[in-house]
Amino acid sequence: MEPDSELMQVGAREGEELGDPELLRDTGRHLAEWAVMIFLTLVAFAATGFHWLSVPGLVVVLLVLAAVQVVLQLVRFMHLDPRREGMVTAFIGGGLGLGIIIALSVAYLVYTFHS
Amino acid sequence: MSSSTGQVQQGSQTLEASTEHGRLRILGFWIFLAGECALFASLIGSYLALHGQTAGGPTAQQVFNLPMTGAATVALLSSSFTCVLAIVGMQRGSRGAVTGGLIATILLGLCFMGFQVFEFVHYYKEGFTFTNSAFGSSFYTLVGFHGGHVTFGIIWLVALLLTTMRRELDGDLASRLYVGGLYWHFVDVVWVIIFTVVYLMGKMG
Repeated sequence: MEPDSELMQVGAREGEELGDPELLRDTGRHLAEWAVMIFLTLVAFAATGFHWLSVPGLVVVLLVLAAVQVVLQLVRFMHLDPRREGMVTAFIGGGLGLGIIIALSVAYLVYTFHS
Repeated sequence: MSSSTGQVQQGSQTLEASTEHGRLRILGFWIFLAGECALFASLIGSYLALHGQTAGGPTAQQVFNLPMTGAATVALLSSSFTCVLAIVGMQRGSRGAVTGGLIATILLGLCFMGFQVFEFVHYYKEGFTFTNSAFGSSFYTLVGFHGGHVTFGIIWLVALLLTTMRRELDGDLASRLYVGGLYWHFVDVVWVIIFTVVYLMGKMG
């Protein structure tokens, strides 16, 4: 690993020299994304706390807001690019899809058992 | 350009994916996260099934405190932002951005845990405990499990911070930082689902 480390350190130093404007640009983008997430969270809490909608409508709105936040986290903060990283997308997409099926199945199973 | 010994990649590769070992580490970690999805899904499913079984004790509508949960959520979402700044800083080769981002993430993570401990103590005083109903057991198991993940994440980030402070920023360390960041963002993703399904939907009845 030694030769690699040496070359990587060179890469890191080069990055530091020319990195500042790009780092600032990336920071600005992520700051905007963070602001969107905070806004969506505040909307979700306010809609629930102040009873803006009827229960069925609120459930739909909350699930949509949560889905948007999950996608934002995956694509922007976790840098998931489905076009370049098909296998990773398949794994995490499979995990999330299976997660939804498991959660609903367990809930349905236990609910019907109790009722 | 790659080999099993981890040759350096040229071109558009970022630092964390510059060695084969780093790329495999990241891919393996995504698979682990997919497994974590199933784990949390089973806990969320159990909560959804049992949240109505209060055994005469307090209900979700009575105990949940939205302003406190909202403050904890803002802290955790902000930690996700500082964490991505650390990762972007790593990709640009800026050690200052990495250490600064990690320190801010750790502090915000501790802030979130402070809210959670305060919340649990508050609920306990209100008579909402782990053992008084199936709702209590499923709630504390799910939210406590998430809190355990955040605690583990804080310890991991502290270890990464100490390593970054005494080592050069090479491809190996970059991939370690990257998977640490993925873990932290994943914990945030799970919290988005928990605050929606447990707190907000619980509060609306």
